[in-house]
Amino acid sequence: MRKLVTASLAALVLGTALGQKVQITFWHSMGGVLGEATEALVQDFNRSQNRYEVKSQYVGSYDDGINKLLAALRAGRGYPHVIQVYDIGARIMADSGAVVPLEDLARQKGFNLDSLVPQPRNYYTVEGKLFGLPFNSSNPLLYFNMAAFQEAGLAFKPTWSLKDLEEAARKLTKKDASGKTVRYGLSIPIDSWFVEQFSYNSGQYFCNNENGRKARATAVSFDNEAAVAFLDTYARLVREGVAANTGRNWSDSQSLFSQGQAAIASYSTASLTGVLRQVGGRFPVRTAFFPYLKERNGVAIGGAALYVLKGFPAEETEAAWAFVRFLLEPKTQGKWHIATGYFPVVKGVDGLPEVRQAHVKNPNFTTAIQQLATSKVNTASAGCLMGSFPEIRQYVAAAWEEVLRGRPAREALAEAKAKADQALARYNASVAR
Amino acid sequence: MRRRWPLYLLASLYAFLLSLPLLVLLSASLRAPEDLFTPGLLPPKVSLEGYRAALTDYPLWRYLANSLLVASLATLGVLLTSLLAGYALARIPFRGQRAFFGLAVALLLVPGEVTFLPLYLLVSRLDWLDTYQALILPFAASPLGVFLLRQYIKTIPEDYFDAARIDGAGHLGLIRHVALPLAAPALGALAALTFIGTWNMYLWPLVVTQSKEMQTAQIAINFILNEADAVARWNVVAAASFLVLLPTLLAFLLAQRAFVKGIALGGLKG
Repeated sequence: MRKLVTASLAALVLGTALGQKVQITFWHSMGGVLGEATEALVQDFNRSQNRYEVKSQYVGSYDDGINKLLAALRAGRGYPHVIQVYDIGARIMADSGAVVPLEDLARQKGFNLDSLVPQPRNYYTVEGKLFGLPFNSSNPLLYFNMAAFQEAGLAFKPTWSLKDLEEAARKLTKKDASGKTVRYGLSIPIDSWFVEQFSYNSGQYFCNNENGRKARATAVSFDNEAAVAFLDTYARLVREGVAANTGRNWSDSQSLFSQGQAAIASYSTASLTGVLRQVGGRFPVRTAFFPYLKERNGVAIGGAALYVLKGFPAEETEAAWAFVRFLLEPKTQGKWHIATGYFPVVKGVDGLPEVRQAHVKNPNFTTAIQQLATSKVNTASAGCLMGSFPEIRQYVAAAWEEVLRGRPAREALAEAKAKADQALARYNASVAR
Repeated sequence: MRRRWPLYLLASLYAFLLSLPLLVLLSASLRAPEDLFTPGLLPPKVSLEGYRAALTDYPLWRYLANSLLVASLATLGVLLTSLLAGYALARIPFRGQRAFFGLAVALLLVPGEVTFLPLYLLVSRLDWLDTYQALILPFAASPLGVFLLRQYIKTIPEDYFDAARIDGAGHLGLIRHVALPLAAPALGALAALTFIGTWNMYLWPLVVTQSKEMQTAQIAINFILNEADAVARWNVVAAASFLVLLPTLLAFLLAQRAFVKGIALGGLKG
């Protein structure tokens, strides 16, 4: 009898041990409204099943998150199962050796990666293997103040060459009697991202070896004709008082746009909800595809990806996969898309009733999806893959500023290229060791 | 008095300039989202939406409580260690005293960035990640405090200590009855500096915490602000910033009073 009691007690103890949830940690860099949406997805996952529990933590900006990760990897403990790292960290994460490629996990679990939208998948594919889950994916859009368009007698169209954009910006510019601009035609924040995207959309590469997709990139190529034309045109328009120079801060440009003092602007698709909130119905807003030089190729994606890290017991990696798998569900993707403006990365989300409803209510949300669907899929639109990208972006932004001060873009970009190539060579040497 | 009015005018103008950023912040926190960029210092219409969102959408109270605990305990720690070490280095002659003092001064020259990673590895190995001691202990002693207190206690006339010694006080009694009250101005200044410094810490708490429950107020502001490539809700950011700013503002005002009081108490009559 006593034996029986002991046995049943043991079974009970064992049972609760088995019933305990496998806990995994998830570090993300989504603050504000995006942060609330991210936390909501985590809660949805925790509620959707009872075997795993994800503990999420906000770890500051993307750069803060990487620093925190590097410190934890150095200590060999305290790093998370899943971490969100920005787009330009793709090469660094693949080289780190700390990541379980998503491609391996998917193959092992029999998940068909063909359900992913090709551009985000291409972006995070390094040497033939998909490493991260494209979680929050964005692309650049043009934002139009339609009241200003109507006033200037301009018609809306979805695609714009740089030349068309320049002409429209001139017509939209309003100056007072003293020649001071009261409404700018165009406002684009100084950010390397727009130079990158303009290169891709014109069919040009931002770094060599076809954007680092055929082989490891060893030099940048942001001195291409598209980038030169883009910066020269923008600087000319600023000198003429047609385009605004609002510096590197996006919010300074957004303040102009929302006050009706800039008629065309360019931001990310993820900015849409916030821009509409700041405009507050003062004028109708429409969005269009990002411009190109001669022929439209297609933009690359921006945003960030989730990586599953190595070095955990099998059941915890299993839990990490379950979480990733949940995020790839069309329903989850639809909810995320509606809450944030980031576009869905798996196919078949547009057909969901709640997504369709949101699109009818606000057609601007379809622009990013349309832009992606009509983009060519090639190495240019896959986006540049290289190390030292965060540093190199600083050089491009500095070159942009020099062009605004009157230097020819070719010269400024050539000088920035010399610095960038050095940084890249340093990175490549550190990885080769 | 009448001749002084240009001075007062200038001083008020300067004070206004200094408080302008605070006023802009307060104004932004009271604006509706669509009025954020409307020109003018006064919001076109007052909206409490920013405060509502800051307090209900985010666990701001928890973050504030964490910061308050961390900053207060670290400040107490610094005051205690600095007073003890400062007294020892100024008043107890022992071998190697000068070397110890030199070491404390040398530590002033080491930038925090250098010790960041070793400190992290240490905390991690002690299994202190995600604990209050990781947030407090590394900052509970400061070379600046030791330096400040040692210099200050050196300036207190020996007569006070002698008088206390005649009354039978030991070292602890000397600290309690002479050094502590007479060093009040230095301690007040040190407390204000330390409190503001630890309250404003960002990277260290970010790196050593592992859960939402342990994070501090500065991380909360960044959390509300950082929308990656989306658009921040500036009214909410401003409201949260203002709430996080209040304790330091109060600490500073209180400490200011302590400065004045301390100076009045510490004067030696000729």
